[in-house]
Amino acid sequence: MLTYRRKLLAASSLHSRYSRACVSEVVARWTRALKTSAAVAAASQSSEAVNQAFQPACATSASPPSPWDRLNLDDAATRAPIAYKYIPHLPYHTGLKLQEALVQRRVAMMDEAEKSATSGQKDLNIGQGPSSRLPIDVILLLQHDPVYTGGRRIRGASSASEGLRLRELTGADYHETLRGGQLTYHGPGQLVGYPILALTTKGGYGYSEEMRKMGRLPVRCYVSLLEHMMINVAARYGIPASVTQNTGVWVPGKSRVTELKDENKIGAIGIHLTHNVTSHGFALNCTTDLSYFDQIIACGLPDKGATSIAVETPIWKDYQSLLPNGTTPGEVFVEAVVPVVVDEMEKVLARKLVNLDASDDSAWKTGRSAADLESIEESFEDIRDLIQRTLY
Amino acid sequence: MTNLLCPPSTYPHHSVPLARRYTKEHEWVSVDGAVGTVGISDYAQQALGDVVFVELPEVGKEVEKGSQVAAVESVKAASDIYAPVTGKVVEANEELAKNPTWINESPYEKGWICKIQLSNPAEFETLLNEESYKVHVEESAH
Repeated sequence: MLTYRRKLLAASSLHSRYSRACVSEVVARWTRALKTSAAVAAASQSSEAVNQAFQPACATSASPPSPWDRLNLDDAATRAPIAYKYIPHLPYHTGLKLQEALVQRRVAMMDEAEKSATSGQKDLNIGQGPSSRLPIDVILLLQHDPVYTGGRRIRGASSASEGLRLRELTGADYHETLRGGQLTYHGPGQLVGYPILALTTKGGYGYSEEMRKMGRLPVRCYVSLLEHMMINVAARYGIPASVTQNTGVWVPGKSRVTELKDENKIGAIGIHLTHNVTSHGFALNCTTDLSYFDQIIACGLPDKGATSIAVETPIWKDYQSLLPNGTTPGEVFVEAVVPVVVDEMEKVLARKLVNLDASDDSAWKTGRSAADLESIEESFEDIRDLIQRTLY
Repeated sequence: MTNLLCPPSTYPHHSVPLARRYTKEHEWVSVDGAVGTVGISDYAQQALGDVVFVELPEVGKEVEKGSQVAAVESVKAASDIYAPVTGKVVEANEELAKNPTWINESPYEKGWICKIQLSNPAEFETLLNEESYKVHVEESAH
């Protein structure tokens, strides 16, 4: 285990070097892209146009080596796609309900796959009858209202009084959760991801050969995979983020709060595993109001601060200036980060991500059989129904 | 009696007198009389990574086979642990709560999680024995 962590640290320091070297290059590329797209955006004055114009280029040449490089995205068409949905505004308790429903669905599908396996049915992937839909994984991407949440470790009386204090001080809600990790903040401007994934090949149709060889994606590898996804997203914005001995994604630099802090967290992780199905996930600060973090010792690390894409790059200011008055650019900017996260998520998981609200887009369909496509579409429909039922 | 050449973490069968049975979700149970001692397997602790927190069940709690009985947290991930047998929790390993790394260092001895008074001792026989569990682990690893 120690060796594993050391390997990751080595990879990350290499990564930082790469990133620093390419920051200026990325920013220059951004500025070029902005100049050409700004006119388009200004003409239409719509946030969609600005967001479309605001996609950072793929950092191909500066791509850091990652433990996930051996996964080949070219083969993604042979694996089940993952459905994703972006929800711009989700109350925390509704988010919990939604995750619970999706986890239950996924666990039930694994049980079914298990049964068909023991009954001698060879193909776990596509069974017969209406109950044997493809076990498609789901990722929710969203923004919460201001809310503090406590992890499993700090549940209980002291956590409740801390919740009361925070509510009085900031007006933000407080929830206890079953995820790993300690205390954190979610709110507008932060992109939260809840991947509901089966970390096992049992009914986990679609994992690559490499993952099959691992038997399942061990929990610790899943956490590291999320870290690397966020590092890659930060790199696309020219931010030299890395992993440290503390879980999460960090950017070197002095804190806004105290001079003592030498690294600030841009991306946080907290996972709950139920029968090998993941819930909760990651939170990436894009334009988060970081003053909420000043009220807490986030993740139990008193000498560390928080940061965001907006704080780390000048690009954010350019973005703001492009938007018409009266919009809430902080939250709208998160929508510009969504496709970047989707892209990097596809790379670390070596699976195609399909937007549930735009599954007609044909890019993910190439290389799949008509029968597979039909089965996948049916699964998407089930997931859409489930989300609708839970949300409204 | 620890054999220095074969530390318990590598060769657990050298120092564990009671036969263990396993679930497919990698919990183990060994039975002494009608009381089963429960923990998670060496494979499970490796998959989890360094354990930082163990959530123990309350003594007196009635659990059903397959229902959630405890949780372990490693690298920001809390994993539910399920009861391998039906019965009543008669003891929880309070020392483990203070030393969560025992799950990694000694999954079959110091890392035991709780003891369950079996209400249906026949359940034990339906679990995987050492060989079939080994096959299960190998199968999921290839």
